[in-house]
Amino acid sequence: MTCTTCPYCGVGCGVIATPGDESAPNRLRIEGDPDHPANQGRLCVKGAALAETVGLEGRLLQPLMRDDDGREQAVSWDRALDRVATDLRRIIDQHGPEAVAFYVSGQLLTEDYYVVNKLVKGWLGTANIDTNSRLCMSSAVAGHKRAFGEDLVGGNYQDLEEADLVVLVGSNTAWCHPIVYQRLMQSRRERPEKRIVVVDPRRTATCEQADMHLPVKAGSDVWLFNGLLTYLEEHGVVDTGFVANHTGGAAEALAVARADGGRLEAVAKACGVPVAQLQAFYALFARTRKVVTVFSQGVNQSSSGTDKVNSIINCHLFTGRLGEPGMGPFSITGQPNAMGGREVGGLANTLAAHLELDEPVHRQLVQEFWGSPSIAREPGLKAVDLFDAVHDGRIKALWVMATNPVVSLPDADRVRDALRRCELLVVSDLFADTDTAAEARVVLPALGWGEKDGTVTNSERCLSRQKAFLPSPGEAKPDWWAVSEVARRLGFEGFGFEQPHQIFDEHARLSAWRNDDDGVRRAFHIGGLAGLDAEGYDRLRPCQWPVPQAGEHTPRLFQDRRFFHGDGKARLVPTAPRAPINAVDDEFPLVLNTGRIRDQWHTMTRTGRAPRLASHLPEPFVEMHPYEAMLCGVQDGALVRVASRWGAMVARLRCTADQPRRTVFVPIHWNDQRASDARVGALVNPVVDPLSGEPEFKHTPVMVSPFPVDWHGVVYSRSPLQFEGSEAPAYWVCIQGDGFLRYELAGRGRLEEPHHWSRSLLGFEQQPQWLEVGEVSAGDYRAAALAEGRLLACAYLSPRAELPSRSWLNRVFGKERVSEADIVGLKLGRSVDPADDVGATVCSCFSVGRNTILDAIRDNGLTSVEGVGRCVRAGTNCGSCQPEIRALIEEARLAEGA
Amino acid sequence: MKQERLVVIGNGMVGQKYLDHLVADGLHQRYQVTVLCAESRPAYDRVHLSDFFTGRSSEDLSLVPALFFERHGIELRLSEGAASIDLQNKTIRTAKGATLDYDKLVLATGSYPFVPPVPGRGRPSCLVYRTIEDLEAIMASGRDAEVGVVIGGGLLGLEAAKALRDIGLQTHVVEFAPRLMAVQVDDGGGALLRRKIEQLGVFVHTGMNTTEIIDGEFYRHRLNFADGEHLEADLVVFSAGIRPQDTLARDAGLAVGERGGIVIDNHCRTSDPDVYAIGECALWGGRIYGLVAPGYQMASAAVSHLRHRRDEALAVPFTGADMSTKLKLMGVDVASLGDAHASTPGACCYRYEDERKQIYKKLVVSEDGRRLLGGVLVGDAREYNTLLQLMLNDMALPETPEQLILPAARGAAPTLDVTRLPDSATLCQCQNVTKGTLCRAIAEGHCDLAAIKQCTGAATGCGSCEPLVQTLLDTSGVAADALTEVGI
Repeated sequence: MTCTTCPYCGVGCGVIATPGDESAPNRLRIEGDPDHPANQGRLCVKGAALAETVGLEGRLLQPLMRDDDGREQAVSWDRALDRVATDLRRIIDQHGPEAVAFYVSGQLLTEDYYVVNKLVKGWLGTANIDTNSRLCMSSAVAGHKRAFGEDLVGGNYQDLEEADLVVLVGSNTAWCHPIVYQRLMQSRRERPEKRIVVVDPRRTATCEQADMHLPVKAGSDVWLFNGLLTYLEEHGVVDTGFVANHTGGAAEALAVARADGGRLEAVAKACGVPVAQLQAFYALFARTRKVVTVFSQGVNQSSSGTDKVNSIINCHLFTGRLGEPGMGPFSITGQPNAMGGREVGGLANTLAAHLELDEPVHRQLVQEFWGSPSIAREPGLKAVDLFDAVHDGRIKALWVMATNPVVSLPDADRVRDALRRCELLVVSDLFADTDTAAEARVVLPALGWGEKDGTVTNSERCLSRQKAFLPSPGEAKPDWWAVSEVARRLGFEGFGFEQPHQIFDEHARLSAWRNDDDGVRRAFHIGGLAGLDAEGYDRLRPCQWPVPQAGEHTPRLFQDRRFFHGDGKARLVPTAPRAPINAVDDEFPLVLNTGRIRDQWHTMTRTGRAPRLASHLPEPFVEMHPYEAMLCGVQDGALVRVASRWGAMVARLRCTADQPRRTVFVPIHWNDQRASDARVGALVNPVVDPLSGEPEFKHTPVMVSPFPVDWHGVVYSRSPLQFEGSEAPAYWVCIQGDGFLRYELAGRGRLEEPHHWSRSLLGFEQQPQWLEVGEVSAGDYRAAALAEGRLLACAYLSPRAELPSRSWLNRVFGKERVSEADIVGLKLGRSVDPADDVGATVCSCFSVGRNTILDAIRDNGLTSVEGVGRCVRAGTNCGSCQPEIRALIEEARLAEGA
Repeated sequence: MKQERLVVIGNGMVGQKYLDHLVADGLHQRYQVTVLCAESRPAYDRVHLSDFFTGRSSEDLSLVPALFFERHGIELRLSEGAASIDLQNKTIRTAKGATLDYDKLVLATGSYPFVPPVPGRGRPSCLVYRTIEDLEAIMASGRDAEVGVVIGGGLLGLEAAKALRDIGLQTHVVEFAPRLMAVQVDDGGGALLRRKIEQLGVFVHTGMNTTEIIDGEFYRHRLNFADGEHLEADLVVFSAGIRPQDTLARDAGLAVGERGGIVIDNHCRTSDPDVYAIGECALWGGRIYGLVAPGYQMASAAVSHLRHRRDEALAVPFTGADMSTKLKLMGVDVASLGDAHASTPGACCYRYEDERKQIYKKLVVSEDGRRLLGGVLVGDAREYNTLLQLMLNDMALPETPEQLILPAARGAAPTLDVTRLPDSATLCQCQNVTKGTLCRAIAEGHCDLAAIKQCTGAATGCGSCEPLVQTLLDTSGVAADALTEVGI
């Protein structure tokens, strides 16, 4: 067994992976690590399903090169690396180092990150390296730097447990950081007097258990916290000594806050919440000393994200509420190693080891340590600008690692266009067919989770090992190796790494390098971890930096009230509120908000492969208030087109009163490999925060209109289907099942010959056992192909959206041999046994369907989530479906009463 | 002989119920019937009006079967109310200027929403909640609104609040009394109701006296209150109670009550023997019945009288109605029975409250503890039917009446023994169906709920009596089996 960490969100849970023994080599067992401080043994559904994502199906196992006509060729590493090095050299010689850029990822391990950053900033001499952390955390980074003089998250998860009040701002913690949410809820069960406030325009699953939900208007956070700061001042809730001795800027910050936040009614109007509720929140905050304000993407992904961060921190500085247990601002990151990337300086505007590009002393310090021929002097291009520069030809070579910008960046169609214009696009990934890798000239096979070896840092500064326990498949290699090989080919010294511990050692030494009052003192110091040999590195237990000396780690920063501006003080920053850059208008009257769903991760390149994770919300969707839907003339459950000035997409409408009026929500996950047209990135406005460069993902004006179709279908197949040209349906989604793929389809025009169409689509022109029922009058078509009693494929097409129960079909497809009753059911298009339909999955961990849970509630008179758990296991593992179970209990109660 | 003319003014729920009874008794063939309806559509379900905001169309809400008027030869004049009545000459002038003769006249003019005389009440987007047109106005006004406020925290006010919340507005309820639903529930129930409603995202302000409505600084309107506080909103809905629509009658010279309402006798006759009044416009025994069930009973009584006009003694009279009610407000069960406020001299109360499960229950019993006088149920009203039957049929209470509202320690709660109910007990209040009628239907072979509903109409209104009807079915089945077993 191997102790490692989960590769998904920024909670950074410890995982114990036990590969199968000789009898079942493919059976990987995954458990939570009881000794990891982040999760203490718990795992959410994504973590628990990791074993389903490590299969080699579809994996890229050899470098690929593509020529101008898109012809693909598998090549040796030597050839691929030579090509990359030669082209880079040529482009730099012709156009200078600024014509080269790297776009990397919070999915990289710290070691990969360190090496690529060193190459770019120390040897290529440009700072054109940015990371997808730009899309999620850069506003927090910029805010931290302004407030504390360094990118520092002072507190830890335990503070959330110890706090008397936890304010969750722009964070659907229940879905996006389930384990932290569970810890929070557990602490509240132990201390029922603890209060939880959620600030979010949407009524998310996180609000279910909150004491108060402030449904603020998108982008109004600065008004809210300026109002709070003013309120605190007016009510004398200030730590005068702390403010005087350890901070600067309070007077200026207050003056600005007062300008807009001075009147409760004005703040209430700006935020769109009632005065009384605002007052209640302010009073609660004012009287509760132990308060933690957790913020995430809802704060960061904004054109005023950095100001939002500072407006929050201001309130904590003003009241001296940080640096002690149970209090402080707390940025919760999206990615497993977003913080590790920040530590090595993987952003275009940082240097390395928390040192800054624009400080000559810092540059000198790093260059000296590296012994590098050059050092970047100017900040490089941040993500959105970087792809702009690729588009207009200023950047001619781009190397993308472990991220999928064609799906994830704003104005994503333009990003794809940019990549197509790029002279040299290198992509390092697990798969050759991601939307981004599909555009590359050179695709390098990277190692995935369980194969790669290094360290990550989670949201609470906890540095953990992520270890290999599976063999490297095919010719896949670590990213640091590929980068070092290119560096070597370019004739650079300093890249002779053979193992990751050597890189970590160098990174640790750099953090300690002249880290004192004579040099440049910074909080990030892991000198105590320098000098580890391979074995020591393997034994490294999770620890929170700073680690200045071996064995000495730091659960909480700022206890000494020292900060990292030159004068050792923190800063309150004046934050004048600004509305989002693009306002709605008559043509685009709705605000598009984007975010995650419970069971998927980023662009689904990995989680999309796990059947268990595909079952909760299988199709891309648009959430909208029912009344808004009525005004737009669109219907619940129907397909709709969402369009902005930048792009458009098609998804299924889900009407819910949890979505505020005049807004829509679309998840970020679906890519072109999984759906016909569901990349929400294509719609997002490419506007950014002026300081952090973080895009405004939470606010794009859009319009919603019907997407009329003439027929609906669902097709199950054992192998992937290819939709070609005119035969392609207007809408399709590919959903991973257990041993099959399910396609939800909808098309325009009459399907003239459904028989031919489905047979050729499924490749069963000659299939012997092909059950077929065509009901011509109703336009229905049903067919299934069997071989030796096992289902190979089936197709149901109808002019109406009424198609067979998917949970039933899923189960029939899972059978090794179908029964006679199943065959009758397949012909009828419904199960002959109504009890067969377990309903849509609610609990992904134990695959428990909605109907199963409702039956259990009714049959046993259950009234609690715990009762449901005891009865049908649902909700007893990761717990992230508990809000839905609670809603089902309520639904059953209402149905009973009616 | 020339056919006599019957004119019905008003086609609301009660007016339509009158026509239903008329047709059921075949009287529509004896009279030439004309219906005047001021609204543009025939009768619809006002009780479920707020469903309009969650997608039910006006067609879905309609209470008139397709081709009802055509099939039965009843003339319906939509968008044509009555302007005046000439009792002397037995004529009516319609709003469109036509003149109609009548031999018999039925006033089913209903009520109108009371708008308190607050300065500024006539400002744009200050609306009422009564008709589908009102709802359409609320929806239109809500399109660009952010904040809505309902003035009035009674039953209809909370329905209106639900409507505002359904269209996504930040919703407030302003109530003059110190609690919500002041008529139906007591302080304890009101407090719990308020907590539950607030959890649903509606902001409640009680004890507020609105003194004026003026321009808002942040939203369209500003409501000023007597205590110096204020509230801003884009949309105001008045729901401060109803007033009988008695102007026509008053102008015609019919007797009306001091505070409004057309005075009727037990046969729903007004002071003019050829004119009837039914529903919310009628004043019986000095009171107005603002619920649909008593209105239905009046409709039935008025038809019965028409049928037996030559032998009044045969007519089934209207002798008052119970005002107990059970409803679901935004998903919250609320029920009020009889003397909910324990105002009967000597009345004693039992109260049970579970703050965790958010349930409040109160029984009001007679001084000797033998009779149930009333009750309040909030959060869970499953005992409603049992309590209602105990109260209406004046049945003896158990030794420990508190058992009726306490959660059963083990097994099922004690339920009403339906076999003990008299045949005259009205099980379905909405459709006025007695136990006797139901038993006859069962005996005739209507042996499942659907058949019973079809046959008797029971449980087709609010549906709250459905469990009781089911129990009756179950027990009668058992009884029949038992009889078979002993060979009778």
